[in-house]
Amino acid sequence: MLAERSYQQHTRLVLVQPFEQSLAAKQQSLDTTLAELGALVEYEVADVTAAATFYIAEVYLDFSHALLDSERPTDLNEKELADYELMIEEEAYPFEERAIEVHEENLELLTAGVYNSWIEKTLSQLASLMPGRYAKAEISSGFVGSINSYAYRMPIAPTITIDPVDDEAKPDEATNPIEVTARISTDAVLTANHGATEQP
Amino acid sequence: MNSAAPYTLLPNPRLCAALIATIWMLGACATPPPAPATAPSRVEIDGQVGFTITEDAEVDIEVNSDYEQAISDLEMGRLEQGIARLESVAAGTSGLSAPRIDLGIAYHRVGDLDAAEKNLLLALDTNPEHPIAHNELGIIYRKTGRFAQARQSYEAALAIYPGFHFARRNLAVLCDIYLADLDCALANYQAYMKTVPDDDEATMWIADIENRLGR
Repeated sequence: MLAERSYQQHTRLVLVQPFEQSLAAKQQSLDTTLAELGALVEYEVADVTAAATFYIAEVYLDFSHALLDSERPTDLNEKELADYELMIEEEAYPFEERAIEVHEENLELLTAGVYNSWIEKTLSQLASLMPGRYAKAEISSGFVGSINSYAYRMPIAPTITIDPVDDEAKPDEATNPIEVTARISTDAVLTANHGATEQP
Repeated sequence: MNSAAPYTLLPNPRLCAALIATIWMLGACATPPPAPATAPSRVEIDGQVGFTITEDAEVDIEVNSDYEQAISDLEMGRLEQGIARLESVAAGTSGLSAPRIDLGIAYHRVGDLDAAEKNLLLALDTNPEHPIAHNELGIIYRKTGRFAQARQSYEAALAIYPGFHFARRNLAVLCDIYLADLDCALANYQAYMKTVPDDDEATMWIADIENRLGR
């Protein structure tokens, strides 16, 4: 596919010393690739738009990674190298931010009823880039496990436990024999429910 | 005197042995009658605690044993083996929903979403009031891009028991990511948190949504 080919060509360029030279080539490739992918978006065909948008985001992300993985100069002292690392990170960060923005734009196709493998890939990337917002999987209750019955208990459901009563609290056995042997506790406890997220 | 009578009344040992063997074999080979088309079912709601679903059907001890072995296979990761055994159980217990639900879950785990959906729909034909079947079907619908149907499935599970935290959380995730309905997501995450208050992940998700909603 054209979008994928453009993207693959762009990712082959790595940033090596002399940095300015390879950076210029990579930037030129960035512009060219984005223009090619942008032209695909203008077709306004849902699947093509989703694929091209996915790759636009990935081009930005690749540029961010290329900066972070770029070959470091060898003629820097320790402090200069630390400053250089900081500068590279500051330069790379906006490209990652832009990648996230574009992936989020792609996700907006969901509201237009577009759901395909490109949207799934976008979501997968967003889950990796922003797990707090996008790494949200459904939960299954697991197998029923009993052929003709199923009992569900909420994780916070109180349960009845029978605790041994200590001697000091022992009531009069003659007047209250049941309380001598058992005490009902309704503390929230773990409730096994086939894969439920449980309470401590 | 009828000389033949004692002879005819006395059992022929060979014939008797053959008859006993035949009867024994017939008994051994006979399959138990399948459960009725739909076993009567009851959903007992226990307020703030949970619910119990019971489907009234006599289940042959061997069928139940096969079912338990199938579940054991599935839980041990022997999915193909468990599915084959469950298919056999499900074929003989068409009135019960559990084998079909479990097949739905198993097929989902092996990535056969069509078979998963088919079995979950069969389970719901048998017992339309089974929250697990609705919840699992909701996940399948979501994974196949049918978000409106996914929402209906989760809501059907919650209509039976609003505290069913699996469906509550799944509905929240659906609204959050796939429907871009943040109000729905927030309301359902908050309802979910009432049943699972120590879910730190969901606490973070709620804070994020409130931030995005400017609250």
